[in-house]
Amino acid sequence: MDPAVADKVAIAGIGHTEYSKNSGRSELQLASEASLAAIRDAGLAPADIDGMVTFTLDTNDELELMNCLGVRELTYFSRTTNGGAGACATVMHAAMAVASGMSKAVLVYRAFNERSGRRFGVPAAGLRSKAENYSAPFGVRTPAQAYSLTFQHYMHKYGVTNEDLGKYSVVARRHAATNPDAWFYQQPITLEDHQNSRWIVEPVLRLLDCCQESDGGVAIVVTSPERARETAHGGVRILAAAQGEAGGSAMIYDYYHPDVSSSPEFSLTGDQLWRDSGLKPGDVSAAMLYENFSPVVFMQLEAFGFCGPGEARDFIAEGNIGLSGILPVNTHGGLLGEAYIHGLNSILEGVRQLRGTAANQLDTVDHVLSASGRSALLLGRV
Amino acid sequence: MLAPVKPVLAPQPTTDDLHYWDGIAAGQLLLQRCSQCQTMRHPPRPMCGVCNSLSWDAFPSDCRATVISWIIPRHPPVAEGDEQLIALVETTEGARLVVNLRDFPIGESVNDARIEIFMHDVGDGVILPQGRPLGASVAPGEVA
Repeated sequence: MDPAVADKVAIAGIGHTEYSKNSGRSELQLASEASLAAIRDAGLAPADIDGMVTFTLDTNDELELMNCLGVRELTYFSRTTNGGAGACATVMHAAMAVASGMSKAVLVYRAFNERSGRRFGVPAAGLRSKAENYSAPFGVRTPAQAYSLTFQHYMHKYGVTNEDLGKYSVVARRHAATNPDAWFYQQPITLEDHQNSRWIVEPVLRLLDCCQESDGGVAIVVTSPERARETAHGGVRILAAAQGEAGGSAMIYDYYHPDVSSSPEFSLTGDQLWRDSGLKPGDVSAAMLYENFSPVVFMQLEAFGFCGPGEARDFIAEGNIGLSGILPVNTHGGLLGEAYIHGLNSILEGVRQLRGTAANQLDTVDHVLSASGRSALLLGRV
Repeated sequence: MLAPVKPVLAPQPTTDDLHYWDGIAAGQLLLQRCSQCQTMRHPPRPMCGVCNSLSWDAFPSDCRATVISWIIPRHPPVAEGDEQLIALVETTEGARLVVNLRDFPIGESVNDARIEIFMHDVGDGVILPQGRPLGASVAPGEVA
């Protein structure tokens, strides 16, 4: 991303519904509620929105959402691939649209009944792509199973045990325990709880290594810094935004790269952020790292340069990712503790930390990394 | 003996990988190779990413492979004795395959284990490449 883009864009508004296991209403209603909250938070009216970005997997049609909100015209609309790994890419698309003049105010949204409706964790009933010909017939039927084939190699290579993974889960649940928006508010866990939770995929994931399945909606408004400055909170800067896809891969859970223990996509994404922003990992005040499963935090800490390959185990065990650590991670509780709105809810936490409105507010917050593996954002104060 | 979860999701061959699955059904692990630069590629695709040639042929793998990683799915629960040992393996020729491992003790680490690949009817007439300890049997590629 041309660094000049950063001077032309800002996150002006965020909104979300409650996070639950049974919302009792349609996905379109969740999208509408979250979107309206974000638009109002940005000090705008629905008619000011002229762009939309969501996930390819979102069921909410742009036109339907336009009609619910009263958005009159869209001049930019796009969708991002790679599921949750594309979560941060939504904001990148929105930023490019604003910076290029295609759109003045872009609404980013993701809303689903992912617990009471179509659950991601339930085994696939059929093949969804040619790539799955090479895994699903062999019994790789859930995301936990699919990802664990790469995680297990990582754990074997670096001697990481499931108990090591649990140390992340304990931190995430501790952060969620003091976040009233979190599903697991006031429900911390111990490492013993983690080790007593049932195997989902042996020898990699126990239940408490897995993100939740959640119902809810999340929305973000990206617009110009001038408009963002007019809001009560002043907005948040997008210092850099990046996506990464590396040749040789065949699915978002990769079996085909030379080294299965690391993701060249994560590294490609992170390298762009540091290059474009001029910042380095040590400049980051907090990191919101996508975690459908706990090992992804380990792999992102390494790929984004906070520690070397295989060092995330010790980095986490030494207490670095807690609220008083050198790199607080997922201060809202993450997707394990707060909710799983496909990772978009973790971007909101980065915005709150920079505004000074987080439930677990950190003292000094200058730069926040929001990463979802194959896409990421560096956010800063206005 | 390990058994796959039922029902088996049968592969849905496409224009680009029909030859591979036809080979599997006939008891052969056929790997795609560029006719121009001779680069092996797997899973199959229509164009060579090295030289962009559309010409290719397929050659039989020697069916020897090494285990890169392995898992035992535990949830949704499966009946005792029905656990599957699923592995990501790399063949001598460099092809990465997900297979089920048979005749390995369940729960023991099998990283770096040497295996041979054989074709097996896993149920409902679906023939898939499977792995077993190298030297455990007869000719590689044989339909057991």
